Amino acid sequence: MLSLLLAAQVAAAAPDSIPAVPDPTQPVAVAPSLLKLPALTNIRIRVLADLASKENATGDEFDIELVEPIALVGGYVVPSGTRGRGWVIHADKARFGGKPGELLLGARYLKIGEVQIPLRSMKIGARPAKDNGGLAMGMTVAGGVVGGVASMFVTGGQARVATGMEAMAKTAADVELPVALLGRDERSLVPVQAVVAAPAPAGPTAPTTALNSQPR
Amino acid sequence: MNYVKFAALAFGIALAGAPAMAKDNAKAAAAVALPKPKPGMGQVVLFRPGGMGGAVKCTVREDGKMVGRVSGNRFYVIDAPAGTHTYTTKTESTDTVNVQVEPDETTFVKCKISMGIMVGRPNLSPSTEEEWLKSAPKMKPMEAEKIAAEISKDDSERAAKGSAN
Repeated sequence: MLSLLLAAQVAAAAPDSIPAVPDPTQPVAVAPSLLKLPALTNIRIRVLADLASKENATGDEFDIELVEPIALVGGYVVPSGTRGRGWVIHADKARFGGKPGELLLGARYLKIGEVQIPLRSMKIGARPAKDNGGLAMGMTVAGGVVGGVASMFVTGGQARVATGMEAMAKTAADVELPVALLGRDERSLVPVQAVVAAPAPAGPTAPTTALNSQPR
Repeated sequence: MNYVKFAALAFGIALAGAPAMAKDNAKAAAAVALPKPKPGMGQVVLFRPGGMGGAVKCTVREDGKMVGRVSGNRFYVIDAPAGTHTYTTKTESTDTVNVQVEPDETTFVKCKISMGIMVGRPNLSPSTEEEWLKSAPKMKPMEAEKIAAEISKDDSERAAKGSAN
């Protein structure tokens, strides 16, 4: 009798003995298809072109690439080496009179698949070209008119940016990136300002997942 | 005894001078403090490090409209919407600089005067915050009201020229 009772209790407690019925009100773990990369995320990029104030003009474009992966949640990353484009905001040749060459570069975007990540606020580590304006003026003062003429043939240095020069930039807008295009970093990088894009809610009782409850 | 009196006098002078010096330092610090960009806007700090051509003013225009003016060791802050801006200055020669203004950020543009035949030649060039900070201790702001009046006058003159043509 006792053994029959025990057997009945065990049978009642066994979960697989109850037919599984999905409960639509319970949370369901759904792998995200999009991850959000927020605006103003700092990134490090590399210029992939030799640029010079003497040879380039305002509006010229050049290739850039991502130096360090951008960490997102869940170990996903925008992989290093992701290519993009930059542009020459301002270029002016060195001129007589000691005016140095000027070169101002901007980052336009990185491209991952067909998705563009717009960029802004590029700051390159290039030193400004040598300014010979003071030297030219010094010659004018010392040599009078002759010095003045001579000084017209002193040119400032050309501004140059060599291939491989690194720079900082920021993402210019929130971008949702398809997970399928992202890389994985198994070293579990610390997520930096990365947010999971929540799947569109199906209704007022839409299930929430562990992923889309990440802090925003 | 005389030594003690002298020391007390010197100490007194130092004490009396300290507030004045502190006031000067505070004034200098306040003089170089830049405003924050207006919400959603960017700003361009136009500055003119001292040196040659101190008497020559650097008048900066965008699409012909005067947007700022700086003399030696002075700066002026131009409010600008985000985007690419082309600024021009002219004396006996013309120089132009293109800058990219970002929202909520400050962009720096330097105006230097180099040797010219009759008058100094202006050179507008992109600059950096680091370069600004080197010059900042000597910098004073242009009088905003005076520049506003000069811009207004320039606008009127340009309008009169435009209607005459």
